[in-house]
Amino acid sequence: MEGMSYTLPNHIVEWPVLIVTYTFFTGILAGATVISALVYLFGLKKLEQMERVGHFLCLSLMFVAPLAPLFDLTVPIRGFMVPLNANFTSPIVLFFILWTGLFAVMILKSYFLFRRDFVERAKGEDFFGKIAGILTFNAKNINPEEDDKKVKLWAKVSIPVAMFFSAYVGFLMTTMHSVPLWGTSILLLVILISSMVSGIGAVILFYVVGQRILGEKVEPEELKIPVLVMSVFAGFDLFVLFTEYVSEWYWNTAEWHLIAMALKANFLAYLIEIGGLFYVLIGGFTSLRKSMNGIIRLSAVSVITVYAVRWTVVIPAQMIDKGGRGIVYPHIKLIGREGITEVISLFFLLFFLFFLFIAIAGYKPAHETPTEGGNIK
Amino acid sequence: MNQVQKKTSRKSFLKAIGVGAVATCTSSVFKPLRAERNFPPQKGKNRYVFVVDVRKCIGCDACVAACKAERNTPLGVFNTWVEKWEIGFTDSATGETKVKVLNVPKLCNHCENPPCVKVCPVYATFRDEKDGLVLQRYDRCIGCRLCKQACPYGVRYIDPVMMVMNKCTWCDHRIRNGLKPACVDVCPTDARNFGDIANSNDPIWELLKENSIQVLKPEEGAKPRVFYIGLENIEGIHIGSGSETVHPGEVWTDTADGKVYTYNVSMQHNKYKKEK
Repeated sequence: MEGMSYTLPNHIVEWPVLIVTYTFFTGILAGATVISALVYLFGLKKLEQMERVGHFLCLSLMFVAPLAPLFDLTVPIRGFMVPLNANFTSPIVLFFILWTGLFAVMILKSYFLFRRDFVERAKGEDFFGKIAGILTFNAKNINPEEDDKKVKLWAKVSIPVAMFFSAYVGFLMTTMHSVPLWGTSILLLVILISSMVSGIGAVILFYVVGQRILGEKVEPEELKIPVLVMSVFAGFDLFVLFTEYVSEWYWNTAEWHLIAMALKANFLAYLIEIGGLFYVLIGGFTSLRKSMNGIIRLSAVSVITVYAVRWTVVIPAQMIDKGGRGIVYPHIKLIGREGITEVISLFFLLFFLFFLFIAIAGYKPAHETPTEGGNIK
Repeated sequence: MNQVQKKTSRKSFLKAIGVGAVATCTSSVFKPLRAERNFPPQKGKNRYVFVVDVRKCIGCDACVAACKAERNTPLGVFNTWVEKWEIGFTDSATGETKVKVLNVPKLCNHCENPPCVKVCPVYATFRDEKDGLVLQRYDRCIGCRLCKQACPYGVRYIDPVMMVMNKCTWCDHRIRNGLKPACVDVCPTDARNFGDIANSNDPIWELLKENSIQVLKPEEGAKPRVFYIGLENIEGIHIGSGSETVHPGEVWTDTADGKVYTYNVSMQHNKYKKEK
């Protein structure tokens, strides 16, 4: 009976909001990388600008996402010891390998994608022009076709690496088979598929808002394919989540009554998760996707919903006592270590880096930037 | 017609036996290989085990207090504790439903195949191969708490003073100087026992030979080294859902009589055997 028995004395929810945010960031990173790469590879000219925005988002998240688990360490200053004394059987070392791999791929892709812009911008005398000049690495005669081939190569490589990076987060949970709700491989699929939903949603949101700020019009028809893909992935996500919950109930393990208590305690998160995914699934096939406001609403709901998915993956499992005596509630602080302010500051950092990268490389490709006379170069 | 049916059933029966035999042989070959791949066999002379006789524990918590004093454990966290289990059962003689209360001491199991060591990214948690103790390097721990998530027994905690992971060490500073762990020393009823099974004259052998031995959560495959006496045939408690799971066998040679001993520790069965 809830509240009537003692849980194990050392039991607390060890990984609260920062790890939820970390899984959320890595999901958007993977989803945005995949969607940007696919748009580039398929040569969808109408979505060229969206691809660029998605790439800026990926680059920003490459720096912000690892900060969440780093802040979560009780001794963050010793984080550098992980590569120095790496135990290769640890999932955290696997994170380092995958992050380094994805970082290298994204840096190479960015270099060839933005090199021609850097050369153009280096002609300017301003601060960002000087930074762009450094980033050209002394390249002057650029062949856009050659660069395009290299970008395509690294875009192809980035897809599996990003998917591995996202699935790794699921792997981190599935290896903890002593924790009820985590010891199932379905989590890998849950994480991977919801990554696609949030990645596409976030890229659309950043793109549409960016265009609106610049006063440029976006036609809903342009975004038809990404919205449909997002809706289909929301459907897959619902199916996989449904499979997970039904199988947990069907197996009816000794921990089931505790699982049920944890589900009840996080009812709001589950409600947002299921309701939001249904909304995105159905909305993508209705008139919602035919208006820009509808598309913004769908994208915003997809991002919020996936945060709820991450919450339901990370938090309820940790609430369950390993002694089988009950559940504990997460202690979420506003200020301090693992507090909500840390999460908010990470979001601010994400936006700052996003705008910084735009300032350096340009929101639009250099050949499309209006000149002083108002003409496109 | 009947003969044909008989032949068919005999054939399918033999086929099933053949498939079963092949599957059993294959699994018995591959399972030990898989287990040994994780951790090398112990190299040192000592092989410490902890034996808790639940029948004798009166729940006085002297062990908890002694541990707190010995290790200077901060408030709010525990290296060991004593759980109260209320178990309902039907008296076979009278048919009445009765309740009995057990005091079950819990502490780090210093597993043979410790999941906490496997997941530690910087080798801050390690298994000392000399005596099999699972210990912590406090100056190396980064505080990721992955070991706590991986531990099936919930014995690890973040030390609120040092802000790194801490755990029960079976009082390694005492046992390496010939003493017993503090909790064993203060136990008034000898419910807690500690010994070295590498030493054939150790009194711990008597307990192991004479009693039914159980471990907690054998289905996790961690091969724990805290052995319990008095938990057999207990139903309705959550010490693991895999009561049918047989724990991988342990085999060693008793130097006293030169015979090979083995006991498979599973939750509900006395598997101690003396091989002839």
